[in-house]
Amino acid sequence: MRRRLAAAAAAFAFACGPVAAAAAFDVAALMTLLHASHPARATFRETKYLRVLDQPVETTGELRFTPPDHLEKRSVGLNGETLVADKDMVTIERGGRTQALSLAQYPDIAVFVDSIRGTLAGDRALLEKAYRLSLKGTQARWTLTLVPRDEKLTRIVKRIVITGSQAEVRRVEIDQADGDHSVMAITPAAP
Amino acid sequence: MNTRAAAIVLWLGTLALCGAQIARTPFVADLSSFLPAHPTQEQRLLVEQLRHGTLSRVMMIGIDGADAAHRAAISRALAASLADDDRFAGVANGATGGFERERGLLFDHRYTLSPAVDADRFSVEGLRSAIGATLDLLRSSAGLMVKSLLTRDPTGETLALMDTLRPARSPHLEAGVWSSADGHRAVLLARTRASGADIDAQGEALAAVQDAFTQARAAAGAPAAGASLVVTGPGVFSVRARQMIEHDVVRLTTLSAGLVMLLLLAVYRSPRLLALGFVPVISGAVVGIAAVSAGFGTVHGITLGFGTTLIGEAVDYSIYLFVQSEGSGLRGGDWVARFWPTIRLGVLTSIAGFCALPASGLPGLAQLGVYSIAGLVAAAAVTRYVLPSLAPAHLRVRDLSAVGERIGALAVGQRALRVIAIVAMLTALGALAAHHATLWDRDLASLNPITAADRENDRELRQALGASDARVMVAVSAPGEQAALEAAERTQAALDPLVSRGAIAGYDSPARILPSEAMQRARALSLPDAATLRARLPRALAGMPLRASRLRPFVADVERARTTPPVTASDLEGTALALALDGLLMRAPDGTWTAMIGLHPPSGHALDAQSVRQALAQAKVPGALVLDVKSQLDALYGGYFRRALLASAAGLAVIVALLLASLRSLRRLARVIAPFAGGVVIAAGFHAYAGTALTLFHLVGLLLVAAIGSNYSLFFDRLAHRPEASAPRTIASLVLANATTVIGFGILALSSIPVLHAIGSTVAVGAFATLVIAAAFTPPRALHAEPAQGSAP
Repeated sequence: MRRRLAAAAAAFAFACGPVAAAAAFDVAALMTLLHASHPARATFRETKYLRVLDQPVETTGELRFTPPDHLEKRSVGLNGETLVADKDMVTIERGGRTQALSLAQYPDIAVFVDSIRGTLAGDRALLEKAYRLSLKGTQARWTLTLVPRDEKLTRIVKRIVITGSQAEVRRVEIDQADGDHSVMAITPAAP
Repeated sequence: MNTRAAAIVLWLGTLALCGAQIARTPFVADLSSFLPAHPTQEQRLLVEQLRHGTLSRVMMIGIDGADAAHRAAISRALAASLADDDRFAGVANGATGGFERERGLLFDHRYTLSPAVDADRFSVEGLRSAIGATLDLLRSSAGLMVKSLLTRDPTGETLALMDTLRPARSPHLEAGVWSSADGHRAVLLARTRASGADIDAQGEALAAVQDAFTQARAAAGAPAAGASLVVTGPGVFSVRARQMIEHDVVRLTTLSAGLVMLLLLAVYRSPRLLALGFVPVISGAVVGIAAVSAGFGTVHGITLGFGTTLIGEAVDYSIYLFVQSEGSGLRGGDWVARFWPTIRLGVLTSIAGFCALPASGLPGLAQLGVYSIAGLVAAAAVTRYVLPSLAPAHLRVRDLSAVGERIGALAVGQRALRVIAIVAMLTALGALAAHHATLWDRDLASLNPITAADRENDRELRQALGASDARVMVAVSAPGEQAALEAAERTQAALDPLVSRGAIAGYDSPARILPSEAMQRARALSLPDAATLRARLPRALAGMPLRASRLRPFVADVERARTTPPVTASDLEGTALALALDGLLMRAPDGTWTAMIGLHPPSGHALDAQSVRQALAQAKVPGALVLDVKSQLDALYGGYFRRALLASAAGLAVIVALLLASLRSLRRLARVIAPFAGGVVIAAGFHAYAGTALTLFHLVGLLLVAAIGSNYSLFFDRLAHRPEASAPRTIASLVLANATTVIGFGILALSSIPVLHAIGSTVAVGAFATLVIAAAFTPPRALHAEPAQGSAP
């Protein structure tokens, strides 16, 4: 948290240098890189493009991730909405009201949450449970595309495209089946 | 001979009548008999709630052991099988899914059900702010949920409605089902169809839960084998209490009768005398039960349990007859002339004591009193008028003079025994003084036979399920369903300021689930027509990224809502909403409807019922009663306690008056009263010393020490007053009679039912102490006097 995330990850990557450098940059290599990540903090700007609205709507806020499965999303405005995903539980607090739900009960929400958490934690098994993975680019600039395996899920989400550099996730793009889509740009927080 | 034959005929006839009465007597074992009979209107509602209301039908289920995943699997299977069970009105375990019908219903009627709907809501400004809030929500993480509803419900009524219906605090979730906060126990909440007072049905429901659990555990496979089940709730406790009562009654009666028989057999060494000795006991029990049955319509299991004391008490009369009349023969002797007046006075003082029980106002205690009075009178009468005729003319009773003499020499007037008695009394007084602050238990729960483990489980389950919140309720009654709902709405209006002020965290009202038809109509009337709404939308949406043309489905839905008939209770049938409503809106047998509004206390501190009362009074909600369950019950118990105290004091006064009228001597009165007064002090001190806080039942026990103990001191007073040659036999009979009484009550002390345990332990200690004190302070000359005649009482 206190160290620059990228620097830490890079240092680690160099430590395991020979192995990582010898192989081509594939999903396995990306996962190894991400898996070594430390608790991270970042700011985000999420833009939703909805067909029902004439203009996109935007939210900004802060993201915190503690491997392997604790993710917090605090939005500025929106009555200070905070979403915490911890293991199986998702808690949404807004305007003094708290709503908790178990991901076991909401599989469609679970795959969204797991796509982000799985990527941040470099948990390939978790990601591959719900998605087919494909990777393009280099370690310095990679693009991981998740396409749902389950037909039911494809009716909600077409694909999720995650872009990053080294062990940092920089952008999460979600294309929904109904044509709406959202883009979340992530900037690692200053130390 | 003729009078004797008449007595036997009368006796047999009475027994036959009593037998017929008993044959059609329902025996009950629920504890509501130990709830108040003549309470205030608040208390009546409260007791009605406790007996039949939602509160009484709650069953809380916990699954312990195994791991979270397997507990969750069992919880799901258990919930599924209870949901299909007709004995249950509903079951919840936190696993959502389904509820499509409920969601559909709320969505279809959102404009008449949503509390946010009024004329302002659909003004340009109202629309603007409501739609703005929905757009905000669209940006948030809940955006997915809102997106699909936006064009039909841009003001967000469906979500607002679901928000108001969602419990303020829902239980912790673990592996997708409700669990305790520490995650070690899966919890479920079920509600039975039958009222909590219907113990048979509650027993069946409990068995159904146990069966379903066993099946669910088996289905979950080997890793679930370690799982165990915990079930609590008012109905469950009634079932357990009944089992406990039935178990205790059989066990204690058998044990008590067996011990008394063994003792008498050892003393009499004659099975025939033993059998004769039990004739008054059995007659007394039969008459007692029949009297209760005739007076109350039902006989409580606890009354039967209390019957064991009658064995120890009623057998005394035949002991006096057999032991004291030795030598003169059972028939034609002078026992009646010499001893009957003393015994009659003893019976009268006992009756005076037991009369305090019916006067206490608790139907359960009243039964014990009526049973004891009728039983004692019958036993004494049978001993006096029937038993001598039944005994064979030449029946020999063993001479117990030698035994009596030895005991007399050891006890009567002995200095050492006096010292012991005085030390015991002083110790008892010391213990009473040391514990005087905590002497009396003012908690109604102490009268409840729930085991400590059950009580703890119940507390934990309530906490896990968040069920402990509804301690304070507002009840509004009205002649009809709609009137009750309207009253609930007025109550809500009075409560809303308290919610915003933070005096209460929130409330559950039936009118939230089902607003009155008047309210629904008023909301429908406040909706603008399609042309007006269409005209307002562009202005409301100015500057927003949403175009009015997208909201055509919204305009159509609002137009439809203006003419849709109101939702009625029957529309809700078969949904979770009906289940929730059923707990909050009730129809009494007399046709009165009552809406119960459960208040949630503000977090961190208790709810101030007084401020709620003030708010309701200011808002002039007619007929609204604030029920503060805990304080109301405490007040109730306090009322009973005072009443029992008064009844006991009156009983004591009657005993003293009876004694004074018969003895006509203050000195003799003092000699009779002192021993049982000492017995009362020692019995109370015994409890104080043992750290037992005294309840209403102990108080009654203390009065019985006086009532029963006076029998012994009367005989000793008689000996001191007019010494006679048969004194050793009298003493032997007293020791034997006291032993049977101590056995009868002492065995009652083994019961786990508070009323039986309290009275049993108190009377056993007090009766024994009374006998010892009476013997110790009787002058030794009472044993060695000239033969005397007379019938001094």
